[in-house]
Formats: sequence, structure tokens, C-alpha cells
Amino acid sequence: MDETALVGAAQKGDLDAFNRLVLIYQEMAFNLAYRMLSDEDAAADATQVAFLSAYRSLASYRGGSFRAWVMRMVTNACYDELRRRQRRPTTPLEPMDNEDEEEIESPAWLADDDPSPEQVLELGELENAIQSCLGGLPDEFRAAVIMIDVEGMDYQEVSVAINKPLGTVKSRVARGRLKLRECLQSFWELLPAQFRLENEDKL
Amino acid sequence: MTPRIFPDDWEILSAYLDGQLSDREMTQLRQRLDAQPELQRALDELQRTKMVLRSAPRRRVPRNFTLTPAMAPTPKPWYRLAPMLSFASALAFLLLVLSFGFTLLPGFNNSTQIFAAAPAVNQAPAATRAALAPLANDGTSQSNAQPPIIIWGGAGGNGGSSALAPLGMGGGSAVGSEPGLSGNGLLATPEKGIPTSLAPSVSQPPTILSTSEAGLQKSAPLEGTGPILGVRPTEEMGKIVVGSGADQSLYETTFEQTPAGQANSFFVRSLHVIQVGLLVLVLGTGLAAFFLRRRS
Repeated sequence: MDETALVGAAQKGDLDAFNRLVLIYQEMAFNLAYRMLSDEDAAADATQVAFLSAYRSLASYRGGSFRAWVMRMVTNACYDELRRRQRRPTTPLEPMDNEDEEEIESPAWLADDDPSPEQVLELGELENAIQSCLGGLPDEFRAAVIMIDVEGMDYQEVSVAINKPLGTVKSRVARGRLKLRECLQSFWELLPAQFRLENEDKL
Repeated sequence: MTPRIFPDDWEILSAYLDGQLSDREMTQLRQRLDAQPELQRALDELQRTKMVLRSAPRRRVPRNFTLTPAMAPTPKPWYRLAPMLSFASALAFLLLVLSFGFTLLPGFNNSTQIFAAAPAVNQAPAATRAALAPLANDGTSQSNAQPPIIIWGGAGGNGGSSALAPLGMGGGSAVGSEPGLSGNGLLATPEKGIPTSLAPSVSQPPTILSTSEAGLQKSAPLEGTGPILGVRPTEEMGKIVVGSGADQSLYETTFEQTPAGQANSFFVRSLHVIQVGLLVLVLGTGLAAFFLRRRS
């Protein structure tokens, strides 16, 4: 059964059909939420809320990219969580430490089936650099950059997902990339060699 | 000295990386890239940034996010009633406003007067109509017939009669007049102040006077200091002045005592019952639609 048929069945109340759509998009939704919120538990909650909201709002889906429509639900759930954090800011009791045992059990380390210690180290550095720089972006820029550069969505889908015109998407992506470029420059030496420019190697 | 790269250039470079430029824009940019090494370097840095982001490690989902029937209850059929309830509420509100607007119309008072008076004449006792018949057939008497003069509550000095008077919403309190005399409507007695009941009531029927008495009345000095002429003393209010004895017998009944008066009261009562019903409908359906939308 293709996606259109699944969506049609879900709109008629078929929960199994909707759950099959959830299985298709849950990884993308969770990664988007994680990049937006920088917290795995909060990302899981936002993803669950987004799918629940999507199921309840299925009647409002009028065709087009279902992936973009679902990502809009995820983005909205993340914005809600970010607003909640601004209203009630919290401070973790213990700062995250790479040497912690909990961090070793994180999915980032489990993502590769059999990584070498060097690869694990590089991935950890890359992950930290990306997440740190993404966290410094304004929410609107972050959402656009994550969807375009991390999740590989096209401009039209992002326009649907953030409910903004294409021009706004282009502008936000460009400005987000410019800020990320400046931020990532402080991490170039820590990044894998393939990300270093020729001129930097000579410096 | 390296030329500065403007924000627009960054936007063009970013769009170029994503293939969002037109052919003409792309040709122009390539020419600039060949001529400006710093622009080429900026493009390289942006491309590297994009590559870094694209290579970000993927997170595995900690669990499945599929929904259970308990998490996503199937929408109950009555949830679909919300739009209909909203529409019904809006429609009832519109009708309610129209009904109030109808009662505020200047013609509403007159229409009720006609509604009451016309049947009163038609339903007068047969004997009275028989007595009037010769007069009606006589051309001279017809031309000389005096129209009945009905003296209701004073208009200006008593705060003004209002179209709302039959609804128990008479004019304001008396200004420069005796206390307790406020605006009196069509069926309100001058002795009573503002009618309190929805239906008009006449505790004392208007007194019928003959034409000669009417002449006296006409010569009586006007009361009050208001600019409106014809304001009668308060003791004369509520009297009906007719031209002859036959006319007197014709009007020797009050509106409420006639079927027409009862019909008028019934009409006003019915209108208010309808308005109350519409108000209940507006509130009931509106609240129901609101809570249905909140729960859905």
C-alpha cells in the first residue's frame, strides 16, 4: 500500500494505517526534534506529541507532501517545548560529561555498528560541534537549516513545514548557514580531515 | 584589499549550493566566482558547512512512536456536530438580534396599535354597529364625523412615550412633572409608572368623553412647560374623546377586554417567548460547540 492509500485509510480512522506512516517517518521526526531541542527525552516527547497531533488533525491534511505536513507537526511541537522552556527555564543538576557512563550508552555511540575508537572520537567531536553550533542559532533559522541540510528536505517541503513562503526559507537557510560557518570555524581542527579546506591544511 | 561580501551574496551562494538559482543568475555568479577568489572561498566555506551538517550522525529512535487505541481514541460521531452547532448558534443569534431590532422599529408600536384597534371596531357589538349604520350612510354625518381623540400620557413632560412601552421598557422618568408619572405607552395607564410586566395592562380603562366635553378639554389650559403642545393634565390622561353618544358606546370597552386586546397581548408575549427561546438556543448551542471543539 503506497503512502497516499495509507493516508486515505488513516483519514477514515484506520489506526494501523496511520501507525505504518509513523514507522516510516518517526526516525526523521525524532532527529529533527532532537536537533531542535538538544535533548533526547524532550525530543521523544515532542515526537510523540507531534504524531498524536497529526492523527487528530488528519482531516486538515489536503494533499501534498505528507512528510512535510508531519514535519510541521514536529516543528510546532518543538516550538511549544522551546516556549515552555523560556517560561520555566531549568538547570540540569549535573552537567553532561563525555566521560560519563551514561553518555557512552547514548544512541550517538550506538549509531555505528562497529566503529573504531578513532571514528567514535571523531563522531563525538562532530556531534558536539554540530549540536553546539545549532543550539546557538535562533529557533527559526535552526529549523530551516536542520530540515534542509541535516534531513535533506527540499525548499518546497520546508516552506510547507514552517508555513512560510519560499523566499523566507531561502533567507533563513542562508543566514543560518552563515552563522554556522562562523561557529564551526572554531571546531575545524577537531573535525575529521575531509572537512578541512586545502588552504587550512597549508596554514 | 579584499572586497567585502555582502549579505545578498551569501544568500545567492546559499541558493546556488541548493540549485535554487535560475540559469541567468547562475551564469552571472559563475562569472563573479572566476573573477573574485574571495567569493569562491566563501562558497567553499558554505559548502563545507553544508557537508558537515549533512554528515551529522543520525540518532536512533529510543522507541516506536506508534499510537495505541487508548492514546488516539477514534473521534466520536458527535464531535462532527460541532460545526453544525456553531452554525445553529450563529443563526439563532442573528434571529435574536433581528427580533430585538423589530421591536425597536418605530412602526412596531403603530402596528400593534392597528393590530389592536382595527379588530376592536370590527368586533364591536352588533347593536352598536347597527346604531352607527345610519350615521355611516348619511353623507353629511360622515363628513362631520369627529375622529375620536385619545388622550394618553403626556409625551414631553412625562419622559416621552416609547415604542418600547408595551414591552415594559417605557421612557425615562418624568421631567418637571409629578413624581411617579413616567413615559406611558400605548396600553400603559398614566396612573401607573413604568410598566413592569411584559404584557401591557390597563388597570383603569380610559374614560370616554363626548365631543362637548372634548371641546372643554380642548379649551383647558395645557399643563407642563415642555415645548410639545397638547399635553393634558394628568387626570385627563387615559381618556378617549369621541364625537357622539354612539361613538361612546363603540369605545366603551378597553383593548384588553376585547379579543383584539387579548390578541395584542398574546402577540407581545409570544414575541418575548421566542426571544427567550432564541437566547437559550444561542447559549446552549454555542457552549456545546465550544466544549466539543475543546475536547476534539
